[in-house]
Amino acid sequence: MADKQTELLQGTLDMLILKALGLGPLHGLGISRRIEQVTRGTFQVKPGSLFPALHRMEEEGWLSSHWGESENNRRAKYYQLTKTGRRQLESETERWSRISLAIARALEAS
Amino acid sequence: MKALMRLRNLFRNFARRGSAGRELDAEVLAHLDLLADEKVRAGMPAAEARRAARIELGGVEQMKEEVREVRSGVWLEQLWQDTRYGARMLRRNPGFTAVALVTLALGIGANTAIFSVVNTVLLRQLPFAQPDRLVTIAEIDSDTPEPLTVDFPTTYDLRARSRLFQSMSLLRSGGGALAEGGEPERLSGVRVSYDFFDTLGVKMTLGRTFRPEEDRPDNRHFVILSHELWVRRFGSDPNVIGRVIHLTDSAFTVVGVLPADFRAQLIPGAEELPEIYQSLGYDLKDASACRGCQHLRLIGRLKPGVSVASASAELNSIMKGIASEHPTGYARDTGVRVKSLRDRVLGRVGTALWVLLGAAGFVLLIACSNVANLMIARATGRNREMALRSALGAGRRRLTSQLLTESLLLALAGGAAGVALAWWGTRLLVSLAPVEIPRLNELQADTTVLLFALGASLLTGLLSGLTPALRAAHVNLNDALKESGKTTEGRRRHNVRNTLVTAQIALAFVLAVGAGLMAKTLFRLLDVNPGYDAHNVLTLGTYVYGEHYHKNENELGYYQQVFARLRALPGIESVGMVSTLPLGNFDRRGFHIQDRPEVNESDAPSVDAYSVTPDYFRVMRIPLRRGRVFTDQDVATSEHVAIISESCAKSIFPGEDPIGKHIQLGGRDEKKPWATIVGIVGDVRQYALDRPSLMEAYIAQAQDLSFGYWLVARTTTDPRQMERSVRAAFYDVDKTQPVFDVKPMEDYVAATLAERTFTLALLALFGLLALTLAAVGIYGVVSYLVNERTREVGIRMALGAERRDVLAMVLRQGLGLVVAGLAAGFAASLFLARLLVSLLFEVPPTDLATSVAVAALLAAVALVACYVPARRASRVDPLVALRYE
Repeated sequence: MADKQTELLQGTLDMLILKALGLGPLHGLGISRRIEQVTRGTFQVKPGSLFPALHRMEEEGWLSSHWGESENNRRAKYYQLTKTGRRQLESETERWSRISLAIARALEAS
Repeated sequence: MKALMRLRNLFRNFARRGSAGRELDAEVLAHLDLLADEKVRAGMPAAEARRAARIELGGVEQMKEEVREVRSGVWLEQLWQDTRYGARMLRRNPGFTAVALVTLALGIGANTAIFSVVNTVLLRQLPFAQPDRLVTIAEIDSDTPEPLTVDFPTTYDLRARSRLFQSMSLLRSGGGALAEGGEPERLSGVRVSYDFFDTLGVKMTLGRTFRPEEDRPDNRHFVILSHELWVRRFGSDPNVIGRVIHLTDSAFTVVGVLPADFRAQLIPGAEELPEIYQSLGYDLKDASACRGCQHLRLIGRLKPGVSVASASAELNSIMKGIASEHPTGYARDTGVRVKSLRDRVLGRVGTALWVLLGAAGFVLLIACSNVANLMIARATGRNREMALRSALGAGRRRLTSQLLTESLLLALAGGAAGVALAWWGTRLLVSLAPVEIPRLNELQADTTVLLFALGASLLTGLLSGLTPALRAAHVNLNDALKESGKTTEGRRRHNVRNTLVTAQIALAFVLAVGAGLMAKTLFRLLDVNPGYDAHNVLTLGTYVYGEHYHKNENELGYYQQVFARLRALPGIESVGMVSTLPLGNFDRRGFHIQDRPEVNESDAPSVDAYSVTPDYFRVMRIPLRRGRVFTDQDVATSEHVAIISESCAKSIFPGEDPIGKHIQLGGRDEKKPWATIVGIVGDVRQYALDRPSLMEAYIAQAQDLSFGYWLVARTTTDPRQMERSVRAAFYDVDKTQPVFDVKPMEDYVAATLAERTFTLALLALFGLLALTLAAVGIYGVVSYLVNERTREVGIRMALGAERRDVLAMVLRQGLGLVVAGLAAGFAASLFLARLLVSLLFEVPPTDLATSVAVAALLAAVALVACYVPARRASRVDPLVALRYE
């Protein structure tokens, strides 16, 4: 599984994170668990990939962060979508469905 | 928009880099806690949960590094880090840093200094409007050693017929004695056409330039003042325009004042910085306006788009036309030489300067390789450091860039020191340099030079740092971290250092050969017999003016009285006068023989003519070959006499005896007396030490008075000490008459050698620098080799080798490098010495003697440099060596 993950295109990871945050802010671990959950265990994002991605997307302006309290009263850094991030999520979703449709068609035609 | 955001991020990240790091740490810790909590909730005991969480987190440091790299402007942060780290490393090794800094400062400083000279003299445009359109025009024929002058009618015709020139302006010597409110002072000056300043594109700061109507023989009493004169003699008076001043015999009206930045010395004929400019005031009927009476200088401004070559072609074809219309006015092959003003000003200096820049470049290369070797040596000691950093996640590129930053830092620091050195050095250069090097006085630091220094520093940093940096980054982790950590270097690294040292020696060899050839040239030049003895001779210029001296006998009487006083002085051996000093100006006239009438008078041979007093030959020690010299009995009323030089006799009177023949100098005029040749004297080199005599002829002052004479006085001691008393001798007789340019004859000789002496001095300095640096380089490499082989030496000695065997072994290794370097240098010098040819005199560029001498010198220096570490090796105690780690 781990090997397959390193083949994840950078763009795909970005999209998954954006999607995970679609419903509201999460901290790092929470994002990782949410992705695992919605993909039914297919993608397990390790912190080694997650943190760089999160920080990069924050640089790009798609996410913003703040320190808050988690469950168990621990301090954690929460990330949420910005307006630009939401727009990015929409365009990424649309692009991805176009690609998958094209690939599906290609595979059907023999 | 995106770019703006990036930029904002860049600065924000850089500013917050400290706190960002801490925040990331906190985030990771928080993540760890949450992960541990998760596991505890799933049932794991607390301690184990924590450990499991940590394992699951993975390589924290690497992740942190990755996050860091994701931020915008991480390169800036890294650069800052590298710089601070590099500075710290350099501070920690003061010895290395000092040596490297000094080496680099010398190299960069030398290059910057020479470049600033090259920039001012060669690269910058002449300070006139559109200077590339300015040219000098001169008449030339096979008898003219140096095409410099024209005559008035020819210029008139050229100007009228040429279509390619915007304007042409004449210049001739002028000047006069100013006696306003103060001591009578002889002012240097010139007479110029009314459009002279327009041709140059120079505007007056006060007043205006001449008007056409002010350039006529009957209306020419107008002057323009130089800025210095206006300040000095007229107190910067703003109302000086229109003022009438008395110059020599007449009254002149001031019409203009030149700007302070007007560089007269760049104009041929005005090298002596004229203080006063009069209008030329010639017309075709003027006595001096005879065809063939070449005494004027001509500058012209080409029309836009016209090349020098096409102007030259046009003027030459016009000249042919003029010559055919006036067959007796010109020698058969008269032509016109058109040269750009820039070429005329620079002369041979261009070659010398580029050679010097090349030499400085060599010094820099040697310095770079020294520093590179130093860095390689130091890098070995930092293997462990590099290995650790590599293990901690630093990529190879990161390591390389860090080392490169360090060497760039060193280079920039060295560059800054070098610029300071260059600033001081050029000040020194300008003050010591001969005035014959044109435009040096325009030297000033400007951005081009600073950019050059910056570029040189960066290049140096790259050159000296790249190899060590690349090597260090390729370190083998395992070997480096081993406890018995003495890495034996591969042969590869040896070869790099050895190659560098060999290259250094080759470069130093080429430089030293260049200096050697120049030195030999100067020796040859000093050896040349110019035909006279310049040692212990004082010279000065004088002329007479005023109503009283219009009579010849009054002028001669004045000179006689001065002579009487001079001869009475204890420090004076003998005195004489001559109308043209050797190495001074020149006065070439046609040589006409009574019983050899020419078809075309202008085809008569030309000789250098001198009007002299009888003692002239004795003062100058010009040998008498046959016949006699002039005596006091040769006066205006007795038979006119002449003396010719040996080359004149051989060339014009081959196979016959010249003594007794009748000649005239200048033009053939039956109404004037013919002079009888009474003596033959030795040849004199009038133009330069490396130009042979072009025939001379002498007439007696008492019989043929010229305008203005040069006194030559042979002194018993240093001529400079006699200056005051000699001046006094003149003033005591008549204090209104001018005396100027008092200097020893040897100054003239030194002046002709000036440019070569200057080049030699600098080449020798660079050669010395190169030699020192190369010696240091050899010493360093051999020391290193010795250290490397300490164990081997110990074993050898334990097995019975004598001290001298060890010495021989090390010396052999070192000298092997030296021999290779000399061979490479010799090959290079054969190729490169050719560039010096125009500066050399009677020395072939591939002169073997010089190469051998230089090789011997280099070998000796190298031997000493090898010997010291070799001796150290032979002194090693075998027991210590064997234990050496």
